[in-house]
Amino acid sequence: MRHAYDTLLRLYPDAFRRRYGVEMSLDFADGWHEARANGPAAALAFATRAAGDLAVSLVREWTRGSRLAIGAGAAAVTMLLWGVALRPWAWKWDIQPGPRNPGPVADVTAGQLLALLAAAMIPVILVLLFATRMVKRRELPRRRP
Amino acid sequence: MPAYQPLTPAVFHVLLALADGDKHGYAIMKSVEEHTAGTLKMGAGTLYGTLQRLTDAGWVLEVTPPQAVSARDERRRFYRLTSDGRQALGGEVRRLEDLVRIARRSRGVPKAARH
Repeated sequence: MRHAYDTLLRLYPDAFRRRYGVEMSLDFADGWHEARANGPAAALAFATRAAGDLAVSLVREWTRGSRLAIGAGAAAVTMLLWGVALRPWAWKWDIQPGPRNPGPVADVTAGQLLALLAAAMIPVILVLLFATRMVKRRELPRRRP
Repeated sequence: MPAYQPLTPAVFHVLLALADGDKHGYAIMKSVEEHTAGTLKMGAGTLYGTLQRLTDAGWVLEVTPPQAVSARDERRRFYRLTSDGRQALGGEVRRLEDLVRIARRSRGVPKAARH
């Protein structure tokens, strides 16, 4: 089990793994040893908790310091998808740049349009989630003067 | 004493664990578990991510292990609360006390929770 955990530790960013990898491995070994001594249910609970912690902290460590870039990227993708989704309607509403070409309206079905709109919502939700986290769960508090 | 924004539970419990004295990571985890009567079991990823941020912020610092440690613990780093960290912990305790005092004055809060 410890070997499996050590292998998964390689998924952390290099700097974090070099700084804390040995300690995390030792802590896991001690925790696992203790949990096994308390029976199979405790061992299973420990393994489940360790897996959950690993998944959450991996995302946190990889996105640390780049949350703003991820938010900006998601916003750009949102704009692009919304642009693609609404493009056929630009011809219908007569706001298209360049010469008129009514063709694309007939080419896009309502289903396709809905799928595009649904896809476009994913980055919007992502941005909102990031914004909420930034406001609600500030990792370290700032000192107020 | 400066006012602070609320601490996250992970930060609060790590600072609280280190308020008793220098500890290595596993001892911090066990201390958190003990303080919360087993309701909060901190994983290694969460603990070391928090320690990294606290160390970078100057609230916690790494210290050399005490001489009387086992051979196994020699491979571990020990962590110590700095005066800034202690001040932040004190600020958070006062903030929580204020919240509880306000809540206890409220008639909407059940009587059993007011004492």
